[in-house]
Amino acid sequence: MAVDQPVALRPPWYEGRFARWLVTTDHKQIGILYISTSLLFFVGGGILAMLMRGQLATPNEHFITRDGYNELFTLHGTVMVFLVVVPILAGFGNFLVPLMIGARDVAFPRLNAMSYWFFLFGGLTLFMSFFASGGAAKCGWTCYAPLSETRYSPGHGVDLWILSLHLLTIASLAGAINFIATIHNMRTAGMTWMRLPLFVWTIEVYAVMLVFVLPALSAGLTMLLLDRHAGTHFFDPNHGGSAVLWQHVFWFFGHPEVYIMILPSMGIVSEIIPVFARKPIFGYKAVALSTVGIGFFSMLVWAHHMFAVGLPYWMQGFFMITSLAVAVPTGVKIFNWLATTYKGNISFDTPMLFALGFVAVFTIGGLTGIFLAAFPVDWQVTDTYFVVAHMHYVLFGGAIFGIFGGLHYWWPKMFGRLLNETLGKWTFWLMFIGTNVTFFPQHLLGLLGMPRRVYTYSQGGTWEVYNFMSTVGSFVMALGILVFFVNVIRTQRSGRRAGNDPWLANTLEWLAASPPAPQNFDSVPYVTSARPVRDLRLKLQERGEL
Amino acid sequence: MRRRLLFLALPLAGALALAGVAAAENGGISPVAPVSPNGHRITDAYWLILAITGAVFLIVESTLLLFVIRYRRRGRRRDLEPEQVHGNTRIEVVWTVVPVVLLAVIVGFVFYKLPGIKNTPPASAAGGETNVKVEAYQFYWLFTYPGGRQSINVLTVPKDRVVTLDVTSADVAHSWWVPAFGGKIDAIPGKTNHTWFQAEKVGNYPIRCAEFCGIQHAAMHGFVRVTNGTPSPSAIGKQAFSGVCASCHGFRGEGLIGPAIASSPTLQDRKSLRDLVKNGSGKMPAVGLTWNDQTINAVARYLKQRFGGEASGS
Repeated sequence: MAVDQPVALRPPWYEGRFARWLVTTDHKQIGILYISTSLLFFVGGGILAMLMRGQLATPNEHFITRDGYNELFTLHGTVMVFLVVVPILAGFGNFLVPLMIGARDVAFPRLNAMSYWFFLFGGLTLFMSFFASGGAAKCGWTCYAPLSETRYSPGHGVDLWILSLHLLTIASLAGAINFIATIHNMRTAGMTWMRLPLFVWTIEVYAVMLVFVLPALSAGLTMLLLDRHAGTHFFDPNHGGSAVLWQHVFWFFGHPEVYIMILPSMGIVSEIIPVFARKPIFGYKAVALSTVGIGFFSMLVWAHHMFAVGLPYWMQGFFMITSLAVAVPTGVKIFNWLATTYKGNISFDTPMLFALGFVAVFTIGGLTGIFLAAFPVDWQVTDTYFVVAHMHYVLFGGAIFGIFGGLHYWWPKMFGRLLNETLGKWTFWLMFIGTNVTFFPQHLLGLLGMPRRVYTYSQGGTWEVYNFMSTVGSFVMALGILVFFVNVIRTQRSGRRAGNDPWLANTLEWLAASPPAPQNFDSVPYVTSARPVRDLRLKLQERGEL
Repeated sequence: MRRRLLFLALPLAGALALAGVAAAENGGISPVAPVSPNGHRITDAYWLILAITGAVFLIVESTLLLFVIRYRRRGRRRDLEPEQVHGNTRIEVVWTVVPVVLLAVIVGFVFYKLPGIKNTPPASAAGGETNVKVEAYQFYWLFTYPGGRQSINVLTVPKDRVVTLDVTSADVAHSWWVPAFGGKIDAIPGKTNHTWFQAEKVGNYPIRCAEFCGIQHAAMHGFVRVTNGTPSPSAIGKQAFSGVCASCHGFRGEGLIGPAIASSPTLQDRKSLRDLVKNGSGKMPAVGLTWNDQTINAVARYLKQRFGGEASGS
């Protein structure tokens, strides 16, 4: 009896350890690609910021050239907005939305892969623009016309900036359509809108807002490109164009973009706080609907970036009132988070520290926004370091804290191992202290009269003290982020295995294995509340099976 | 425990250091002390908002701290569930309505102060009224007084005079800002914006360009010189040199971004100097595009006097 020699099974090339990441259409892998790529860009954007803080540490510093400094803040802003916060949230959305709604994948998996690759190449284009003739763009992340026109910005920096943003816009738009289609059509049985996880609510609003505002940005970028290379004069007042038009187009996109960056982070906080306080979110409906409210109002506030442009007073009054109106649903969220911790059983694991840190720090960013909404006060503080402080409290103390909370919270789901708690706490405290030491003095600098986007200053005294503090704080922050990466590397080697549900959480992703199987779930129970996994856990406990 | 104390001590030390510095010279708790009526009213609005937001800040942060300490797990089991409260409509209405009321107070106060901020005081007010045209350039300010006299980077006005400004730009967007006089107004090409001030005290008040305008944005400074009497005739040539030429050619004319001007042959030839500043050349912008002959002559005279002495520089 001849036994057949066993043939060594060789998997096809596209299942190789490296190649499968290139051809994947799995939402979890794409999510991880998004997150890891964004983290790399985060390091890049962070290094740009550190160089700036180095230059500003003391008056009349010559550590960096003028042109160099102007490139740094232009790229830092663009990188952090377009290559870090928005895509890393897209990464969380990709990984989590199908798991949270009990689906097997997103609605259009191949489109999803395309989004990622556009994002990657858009990002690389931006970083490579440092090597373009004339260097990278040096017109700020807002690239106001006419400064961004060929006459004042020769070379290819601005062209590559436009190309990069076009690629990123396509990526985000395709991704947003995918999220909307997925959330509307692929929720598991019983998951009504009022049982949808709050993070998914924020991703829904994030996606709808992207669909509304990205086309405006694309149109503006195209007009700028035509002005630069096809002889049009959209933004050139010498030929009948309007320099203010660019600002309207840019901020019609730019302000909603701020909420696009903060809302999913708020969603993350809304997932974390109930789990670690062992209570349901206080006022689920209010928290979900305030997300929609913030999304709606945020599209009516763009001209508060333009109060000094000389708009008619009635228009400034209108934009003041709408801008202040956003504070109401934002306040509702903060009060509901506080109420969720009331009489709770609070554990201080790293995700919870970041979520509570978010509430503490974001509150400051929200409140300083009120100064900027009251237009006569805005005339005094706009375009100074006060604004720099405000937006970093919102985007670093807010969005980035939420993101780091999310990373520590879902890391075990993504990779099957828990990040180390001690290192996690070091990360949090260093980042928390660093953020406040860096950005709080910047409010005061702005009130003292320091304009933003200056490569140096000559005043000593308080200016020097605050600037130096800010620089020290940025190094503390950087150290915290370094500890996070050390933690990641250690965890990959020797992290504790997580199991399906290490935090005793509420939402469906914790029902799947850690990391989840390719098909996500073998079966999903009928959903009867906003906390399906808790329901299941209680049922099993009742039966004595757990 | 010790480590936790250290964490508390660090920010506390930071806050103390900050408070010390701040107390020393009102280091940025409120905007620069205003010396113009519109600036005063803006600062009033600032204080009202600081009071309201400060109260909200204290309430939110102390509640957070209190809850976090009071309801921490301590010895309890992680999975122990306290009472599952899902919400309370009445309290949610309260914390929606109260902020609306607070914001309405802010809106009301802003509109109450607005006329005194945007409207110029009547011309009959003490000191009379002067209109000055302000043109922003990369990277200097050009002022044109009634009667056509010009000055660069230094705006000289008498105390108590109501000065109305027509602000525009010849190239990119800039922003006119004298921190001590109140708000900014952008200088935008193709658009003329209006603002005003009435300086109450004699002194020199820095002007800062507040909108990023290119490579030397950080150096686009000037000042408003508030005098007791009528403005003295300005040394326009010196102003032009330090405000315009020096940004790129260095304060001693030694060359920086542009070549050295000390001992340049152009200085000997008024016509070619005129062409150069009127039209620019290579990397040099047409800085003097709109200067009148009086201004150009003054510049030429100053540069020749200061730098054109010897044929070969050292």
